[in-house]
Amino acid sequence: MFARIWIVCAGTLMASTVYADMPSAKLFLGNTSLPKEVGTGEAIIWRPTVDGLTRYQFRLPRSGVRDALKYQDSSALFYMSQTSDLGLQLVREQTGEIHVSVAPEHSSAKYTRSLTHELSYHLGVEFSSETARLSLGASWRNVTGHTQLDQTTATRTGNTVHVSWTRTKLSSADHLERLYSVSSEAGDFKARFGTRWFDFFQSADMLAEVGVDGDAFVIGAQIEREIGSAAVFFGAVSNLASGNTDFSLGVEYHFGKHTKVGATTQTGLISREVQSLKSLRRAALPSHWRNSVDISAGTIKINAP
Amino acid sequence: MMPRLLAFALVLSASMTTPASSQTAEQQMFLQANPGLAQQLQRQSGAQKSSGPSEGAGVPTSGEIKVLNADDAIADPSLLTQSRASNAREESVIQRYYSILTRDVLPIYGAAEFGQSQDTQLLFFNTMGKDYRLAAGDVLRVTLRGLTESDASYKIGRDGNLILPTLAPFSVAGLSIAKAETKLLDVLRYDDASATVYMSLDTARLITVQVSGAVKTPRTVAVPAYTPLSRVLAYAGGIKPTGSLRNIVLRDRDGNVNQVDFYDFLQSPEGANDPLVTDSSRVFVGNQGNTIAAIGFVARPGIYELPEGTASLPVGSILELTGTRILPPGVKLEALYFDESGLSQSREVSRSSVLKAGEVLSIRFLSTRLTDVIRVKGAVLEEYQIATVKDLSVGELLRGGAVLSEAASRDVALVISENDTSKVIDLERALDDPKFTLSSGDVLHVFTPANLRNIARADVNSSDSNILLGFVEAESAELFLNGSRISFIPLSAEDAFKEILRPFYRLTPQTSLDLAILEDDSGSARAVSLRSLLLSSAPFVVSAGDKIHLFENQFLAISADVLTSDPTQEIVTQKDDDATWTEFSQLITRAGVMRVFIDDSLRALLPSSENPTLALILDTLGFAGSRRFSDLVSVERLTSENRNILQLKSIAGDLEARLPEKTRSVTLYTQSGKEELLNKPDSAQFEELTSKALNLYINDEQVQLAAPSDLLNPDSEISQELSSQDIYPLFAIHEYFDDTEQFWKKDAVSLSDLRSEFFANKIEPGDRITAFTRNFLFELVNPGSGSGSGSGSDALQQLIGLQIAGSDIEEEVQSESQRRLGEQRPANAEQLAQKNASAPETSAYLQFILSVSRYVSGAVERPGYYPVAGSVTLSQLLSAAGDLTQNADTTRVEVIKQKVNGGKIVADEVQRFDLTKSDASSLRLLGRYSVNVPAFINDVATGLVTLAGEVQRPGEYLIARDETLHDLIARAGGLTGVAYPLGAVFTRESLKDSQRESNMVLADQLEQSVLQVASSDVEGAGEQVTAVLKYAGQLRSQDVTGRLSVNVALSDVSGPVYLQGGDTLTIPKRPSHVSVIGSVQKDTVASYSADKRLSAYLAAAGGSSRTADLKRAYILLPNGESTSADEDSIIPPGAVIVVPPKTDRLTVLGLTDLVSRVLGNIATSVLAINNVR
Repeated sequence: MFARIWIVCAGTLMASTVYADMPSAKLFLGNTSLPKEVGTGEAIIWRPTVDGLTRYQFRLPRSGVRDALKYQDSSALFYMSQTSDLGLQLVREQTGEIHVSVAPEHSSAKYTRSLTHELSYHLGVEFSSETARLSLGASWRNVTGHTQLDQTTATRTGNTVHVSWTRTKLSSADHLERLYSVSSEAGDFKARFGTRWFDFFQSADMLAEVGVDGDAFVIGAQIEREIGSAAVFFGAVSNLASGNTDFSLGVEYHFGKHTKVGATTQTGLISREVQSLKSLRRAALPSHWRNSVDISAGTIKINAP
Repeated sequence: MMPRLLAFALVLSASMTTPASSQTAEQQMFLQANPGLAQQLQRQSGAQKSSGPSEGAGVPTSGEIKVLNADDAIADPSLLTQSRASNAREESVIQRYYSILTRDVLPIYGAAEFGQSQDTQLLFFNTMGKDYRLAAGDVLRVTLRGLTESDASYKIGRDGNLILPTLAPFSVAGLSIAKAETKLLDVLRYDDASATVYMSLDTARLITVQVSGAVKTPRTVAVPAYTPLSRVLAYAGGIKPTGSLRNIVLRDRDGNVNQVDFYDFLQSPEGANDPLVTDSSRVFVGNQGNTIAAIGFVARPGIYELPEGTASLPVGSILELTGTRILPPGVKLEALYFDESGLSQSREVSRSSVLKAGEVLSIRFLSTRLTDVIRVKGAVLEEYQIATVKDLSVGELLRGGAVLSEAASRDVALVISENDTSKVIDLERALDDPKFTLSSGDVLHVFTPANLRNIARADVNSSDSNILLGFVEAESAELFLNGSRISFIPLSAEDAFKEILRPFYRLTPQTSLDLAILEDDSGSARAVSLRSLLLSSAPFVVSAGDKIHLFENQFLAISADVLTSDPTQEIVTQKDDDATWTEFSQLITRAGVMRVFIDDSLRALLPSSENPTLALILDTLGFAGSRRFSDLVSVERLTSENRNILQLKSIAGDLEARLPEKTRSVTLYTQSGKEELLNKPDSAQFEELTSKALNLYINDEQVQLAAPSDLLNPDSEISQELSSQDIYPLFAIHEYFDDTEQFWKKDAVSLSDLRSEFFANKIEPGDRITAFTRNFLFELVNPGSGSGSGSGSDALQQLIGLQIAGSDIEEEVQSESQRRLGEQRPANAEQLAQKNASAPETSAYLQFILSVSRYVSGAVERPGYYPVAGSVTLSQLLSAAGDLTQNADTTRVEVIKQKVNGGKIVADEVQRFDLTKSDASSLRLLGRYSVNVPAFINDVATGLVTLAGEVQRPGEYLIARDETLHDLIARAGGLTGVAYPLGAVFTRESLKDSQRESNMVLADQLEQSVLQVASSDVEGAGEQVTAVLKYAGQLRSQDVTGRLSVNVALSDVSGPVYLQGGDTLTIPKRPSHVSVIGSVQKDTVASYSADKRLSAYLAAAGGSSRTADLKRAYILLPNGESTSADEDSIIPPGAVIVVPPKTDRLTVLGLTDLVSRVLGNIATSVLAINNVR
């Protein structure tokens, strides 16, 4: 049993073999592959990936894996493993991702797929005021700090080109992240600075942003809460120049790992569009573990998130 | 009137009779001269006595005459029987007369002859002589043969005719039977020529005889015909004492008178004149004539009647009359008589002299013993005597011993000679020795052992046995056992003692072989050993009057179990007889007996004259070779008051030496007795002993009293005590009294010094030697280094330092100051001594000991201070310190010299010795120094680590310096299948202190903060304060574990975990619970399940309490780490969920964080302890 450790990654969209970054363990990962000998050494290395990013590395002791199989319980293995914070790293997503968003005035559907670690493209269709436009864009991202991710995206939708640059920086204590975004679309310039406090109240996060929208100052805030695969949020954005305040209520739902459908009453906060690093916090590791490690029938399956 | 007159006459007659019965001598003489008067008197008194009718005496002569024959006498025996009166014994006047003269009642010669009772049956066998003439009354038996045959008896009729049936009566009267037969035959022959006749007297006729005169019952009696006169007199009751035997007259019917002198009849039956009485005869007995008496050495003493008409008789005739044929030589003939004045007199007479009537012939013959004989008496078959004039040897006398009875003792006999001198002889020897003779007149007494003993035991003053007197007066010795004489012993000069003793006393197991007392005639006594006496074959001289005293052990009460049984038992069992005891006591004093005491109780008496050795005494007591006794022996002189110790001896050393002269008492001490003595240091005996003995103290306790000479004897107890492994050899204290200074002084000596001749010469009785056990001394000078508390050690360390620092003075001066110090006993030392209860006394020596102590450090068994006396070798000092350990680096042993410089002790030079090259026993250390032995550097064994729990081979592992935890686990075979590596508890001693300290600090901080809260009176803070204070208290009391969080599954998590000595790794079994503590309803240990989340466990604990701060709840992991707790948290088995209390009210004081830490620490400890359990 000891040597026969099988780690199978199962894709949800396609049953393809994926590669997890486990060089030192020389692991061969696959969901349906026949059992194969894993390399020697006392530990197996696993880095959970979220949204094409990875930060922490687990070194799973073989003896721990053996015990976990024996007792059908991986909780001890979790703590027996050595968890190292290697900083953010980019991982090429093997599968594409579909994101559907529905709002009263603006709906869209988008399919994104990585080309390399850094570069990805996306295709989509947007509906607004009874017109539907195709969109095509590319995105470039890179890690600019231990926990800082920059992303530049250019999208052409119909005739308009939308260019944006975002930055996410996770605080060192992991209790908040700062979100920066600058975008220009058809001459409209928008800039936002937001902060998301994790677990602001109970399990709800608080996101607040300030920014300029052309020549008007905008402030906004919203409460976010994840409930299982769903996430709801409620917020308000106020345009200090016009004095308008829009309240927004939205729901998002993840179908599997790569399909996300969202519906909002208003467009809401722009900072919300910036990629969050919440899942890459240490505090999220147990959650990843729960979601990824499946022990049943004598095998441990570690799914790449 | 008639009766009155009769009574008067009776009284008168009585008054007349009384004087006659009490006649005086004169009257006797008078009566003797006038027999008639005497007869008259006699008759008178006889009439009085037979005043009643005559009782059945004979046949009455009055009335019808009847022809009687013997058949009638058979029908009526009273016809013949004597009167009863004849049996009454009477003393006649003449007898009384002679009794006055001779002081003896003499019989009247012949009187008894006729007073004898007649057998009536004999009557009918009167022999009828041929002269028997038939008369009327006779019955004839007639047998006829021939033609007519008949066989019948026929009585002769009164007419004298015999009538037969067929014949005419024919007269037979006056015929003899033969004649009658012839006459009848003649008649018959007429008709029948063949007729024959046989005739015999069938029954004789009875005739009547009148008996009168001086007979006792005068009367007429019927007697068979042809009865002799002498017998007839008997029928009349015999002749009265006053009657004559020489003057009896028989007158027959025809008037023929026949005077009979019965003396003839008595003297000579041959020619006796005893006529037959005929019918109608008369017998008259006349009165007694003159009498004379004979007494003394005569054949028939008695009263004799003189022949009729004579008044004197020659002595020769008297002798003849009395039947006295011999007169032995030397016989003395005397006549006794009353002189004129009536006084009884005597005169010597000769054979030819004539005695007058009334006189008494007295023949005095002095019977003499046979003196020419030797008598043998006692234990012989029959006592006998042998007549001899010459001396006989004992062998001859006793027929070579054949006459002795079986029980006769051949060992001793007593000869009492004629002149009453006596002699005790050895019979056995005398039998064999022909020269040993007895003279005539000697009496040889032979004894059985039993009667010999009885004689020996008898008291000479209360016994009238001439044998005992003979023994006492004889030239003999006496043998005493237990104070009582058991035998007399013949004198001897040639035999060995055992030969002398053997016949008289058999040695028994009870016999005390050790003591015998020989006492001579003059009373001087000496005590000797019975054993040596018995063993000696030299002649032992037994002189007259010697007394040999033997004793039995029981008497002396010497027995091997005496010591064990009753310690109060005295040697001589108290006798009931105080006199015996007193005598014995005097005897042993006189004999100079040596008394042996054991533990103050008299246990043995031994002869002191031989100056016995201790070995002999022990042997005597039966304890030779026994270790029961201590070495100590005190040799004493006895005074009137008590015992004075002359000197002390040692069983170990002086066993074979003779005790000194005048030793009268020796005291041995048993081990227990000596210990008892040592426990009573106040007793006078102890004081006396200590002043004579060498006193050995070990530590502060006196353990030995010994003879000073014992110190040099390796076998002595004191030497053995000192050579015990426990005794510290390099240092002891010798205390002695300095006579010149009159003060006690002390020296430091080593044990080897103690055993030197030099020291032995120096030692004096009464000196004290204090030795120390290694441990005691070590504890004393190194307090706190061992098990002792460290409280006193600082003070003592200072003292040691002070002592060493201050000892910059000259040696002698220093010792003086030390003595002063020792006497004063500094206050701190005294306190120290009180604390150190094991050495209360020795601390008086503490300063002294410390001043000579040298420090040994490094790789020795017991580093510390060691006192030394004088110079020691390096090896000795190292040995004192328990010797080098295996780790000692002997190539570089350091001796650090010190010197005194300017009032300071400073280090001098450091000398290094390579003991592999130089001999430590040749390196002599002097002066001040300390020694250090460096240890090897050890990289291989740096400590012990304990692996416990679920490892394959749990236990203690010796670890190398660079060994890691994971190496060790691998060495232990890895974990077992049920191990729970996450719960591994790795503790380190060194962390405990810091943990404890931090816990304390934390608790202090918390409490101080809470105090401020209490004073700040924040609203609603009370409840939280209480909760917080509870945690502070818990933290203080919480055990710390010194836990270090390690990952035993991954070796390279945080680099190698190097081990330290004392580390402990405990791998628990996989638990199946999760604990929930803190602000929950109840601290709970919930069962684990992989599916359970935080809320489930909280629910198991009854939910969180009102003060719970769930937001700050965290999970304490089994490995000691913690993580915040939320619903997503992974909770492994064995985890502890900690729910802290709300501290929002206290936040203002910054307590929140503090409380968390406190709680965390508590939980961590709880967790570790749980895991280890």
